Amino acid sequence: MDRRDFIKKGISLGLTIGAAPAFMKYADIYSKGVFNEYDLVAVKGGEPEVMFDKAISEIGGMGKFIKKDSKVLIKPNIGWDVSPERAANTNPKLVSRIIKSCYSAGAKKVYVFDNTCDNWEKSYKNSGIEKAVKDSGGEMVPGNAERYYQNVEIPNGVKLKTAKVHELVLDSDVFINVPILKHHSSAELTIAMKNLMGIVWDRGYWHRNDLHQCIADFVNYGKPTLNIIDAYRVLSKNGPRGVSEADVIPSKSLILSRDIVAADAAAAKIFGKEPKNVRYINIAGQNKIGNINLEELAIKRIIL
Amino acid sequence: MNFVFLKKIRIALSLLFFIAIILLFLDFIREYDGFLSSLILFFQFIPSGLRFFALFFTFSAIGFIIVVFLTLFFGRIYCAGFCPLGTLQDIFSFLAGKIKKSKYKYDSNSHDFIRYGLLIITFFLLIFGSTIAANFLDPYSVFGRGASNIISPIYVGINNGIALLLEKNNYYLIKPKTFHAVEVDYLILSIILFLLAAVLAAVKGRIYCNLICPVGSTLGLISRLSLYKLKIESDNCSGCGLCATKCKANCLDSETKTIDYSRCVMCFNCAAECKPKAFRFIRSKNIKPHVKINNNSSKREFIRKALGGIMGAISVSALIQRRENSGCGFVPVLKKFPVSPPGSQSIEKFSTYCSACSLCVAVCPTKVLRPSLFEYGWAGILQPVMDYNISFCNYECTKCSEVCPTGAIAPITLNEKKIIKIGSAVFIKDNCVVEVKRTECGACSEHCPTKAVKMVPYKGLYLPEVEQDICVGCGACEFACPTVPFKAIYVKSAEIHKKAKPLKKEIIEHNIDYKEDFPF
Repeated sequence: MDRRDFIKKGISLGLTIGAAPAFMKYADIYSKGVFNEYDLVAVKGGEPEVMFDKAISEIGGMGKFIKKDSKVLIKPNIGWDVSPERAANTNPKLVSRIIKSCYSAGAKKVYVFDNTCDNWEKSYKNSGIEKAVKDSGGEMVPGNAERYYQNVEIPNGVKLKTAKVHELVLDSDVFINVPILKHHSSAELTIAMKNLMGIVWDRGYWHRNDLHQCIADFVNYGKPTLNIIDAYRVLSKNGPRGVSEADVIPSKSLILSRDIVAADAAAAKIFGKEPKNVRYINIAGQNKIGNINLEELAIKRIIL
Repeated sequence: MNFVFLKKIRIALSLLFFIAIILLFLDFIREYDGFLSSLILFFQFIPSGLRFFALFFTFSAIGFIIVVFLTLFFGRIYCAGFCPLGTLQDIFSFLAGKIKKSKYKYDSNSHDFIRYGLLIITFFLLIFGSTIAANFLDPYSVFGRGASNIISPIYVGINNGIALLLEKNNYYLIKPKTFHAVEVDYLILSIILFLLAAVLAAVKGRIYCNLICPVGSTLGLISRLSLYKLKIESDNCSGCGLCATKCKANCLDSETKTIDYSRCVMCFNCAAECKPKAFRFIRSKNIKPHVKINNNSSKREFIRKALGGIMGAISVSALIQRRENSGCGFVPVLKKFPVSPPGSQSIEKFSTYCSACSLCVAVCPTKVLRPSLFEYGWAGILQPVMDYNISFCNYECTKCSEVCPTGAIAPITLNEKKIIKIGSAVFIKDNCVVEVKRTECGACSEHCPTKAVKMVPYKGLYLPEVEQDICVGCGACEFACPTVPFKAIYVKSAEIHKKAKPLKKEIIEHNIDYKEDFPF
């Protein structure tokens, strides 16, 4: 039995006995009680790496999520062949700092990938993320071939019942979702939930079959261990790719939360949109995937 | 004259070009492609000649003139040292020789009818604006198609195989590469010509060069007049006939001690083997130094002419895929003309100057270029076309224009490329997910690098709208459009490329107070 078969069988077994899917398995070890008192941390006014350091220390450090010798997957947004200043991809400095913090927490290996929209090699390179990952000891993994993607079932999916998910997602102990907050021409905003579209193969299906519903459906499959939203530079229009640096606003903010819906809701507020008006956030909130009502959460606000 | 040394120089030179060209096709030296390819392909006769006219007598395309002069001085050294197909044939001859100890024999019949017949056909087709015969027979292009369709897939296969093995152990060190798309007919055709030259070489030496190759025949005509020629000195010759058995062009008659210079490819194999050293490389006595060579001068009259019947075969936009019934995309998309790459200026010009060597196809990072079948009409067979079902043109890339040896894709800067309009996006509302299914989609607008395709409010949703002024025709929208079997947005080719408006940059007014509290 090779590794992929093992994964496939593991997954299907996991589903049949009602256990959590692979990338949730580690997250669930920490029940609410064990975890820190904050549901969400918001930081403002610093450089990406400084804001991350503040945020992660508020919830007890990376060691809370990473056991010794665990395999970590970081999923930034590397969708486009543009420079970091264009704010279409996650800030490479932030990615670099997260990787280093994973290693100091005892991670065995940190992997980074995205199923890009533009040519993958050019996007990896010109986003600055490839270099940042290599320099901090992480491994940049291709996402450009269908063979990397394994079929999984989405429990309670309304429109999205199955999806092909990158093997590393199934294979890792910890999954850290690192999106960038951007305007999006049809989904209104792309933040943490929308960023998960980059771990699946056939995105065309989502577009054909009610994009918002599919985005919300997919979170039923599993939630990332941690969501860290880069809002240092925010693409305020012409998203998700942007046309020039003129589209970018220097918001200098960062959001960190284990609740993907709360994280999206808070980021939407920073962008200036009501979370309920972004349909997929609203659906996910109604489905109790996470909490859309920020007033019900324990939020740590830090202004540097 | 030390012919053993001359032969070694010839072999070294030919291997240098051979290996460099293969590396170029395997996309090995990608960072310096533009500069290196112009260096490596400088002397390639037909591409250089086409480039000369395509780019209006540019200095970067004088390689073929140098080759003509070299031939006027020393004979067909292009065939011996510069031609990659010639070297490939030599390698096959060499390997075959190892196995069966083959000996060549003088062939008194130079088959002038066939070789000059083919040359005349090629020449007249060129005059009438069709590069079809030149494309088919040009040794560099034949080699290029072999390299991109046989050698490259083998290399990509091996690369991906190793990548897969490493991935099994969680090492993602080797980047998997993408096979470029090929038409089956095209593949078969290029394999046949490539292998034909190779197999003929293994059996009988440089047959391709002296029977089929239009460059060989042209240079053969010129080399009759060359200033320096190989001569066999009767006084020293022992009459052993060894030289004739070494002549891979079958052009050396040891009985009469004469050489057919029109067929001699200057390999020096004969002279290097001669025990009594009877060979001399001396000034030819009956030389007429300033003869106008008909064949070549008429090449200069090479004119751009209408292709007549470019009736691009109607290419149906998408294959019907066995997927979920999407309920949209049933209005057929009919495309009249193919889209030619940025820098090619117009379909007509592109088709006139492209020698179909496939180098652009081999190095295109997104693999949007594929060899055409009949999209450019019968005369443009094998010339590359932009296929937006496979991929789309990267907004930040000018690679094809950097490597193109013929100037069919003229060199352009990135800033120039960004406003070249090679086509315009056409929106078919009745195929669109938003119109038919009343759900959000926007994949087209998402991918658009200029936001020419933007989403506008429509019945509580967002519907694509195209701003033609700034659309460059890159095909990102068409590629991304998820509807099957037909797309809801496609690129209509601009037969003559146009200029798009530069992008407006509206600075957003903002005064962010970083000390202000969060909005939640």
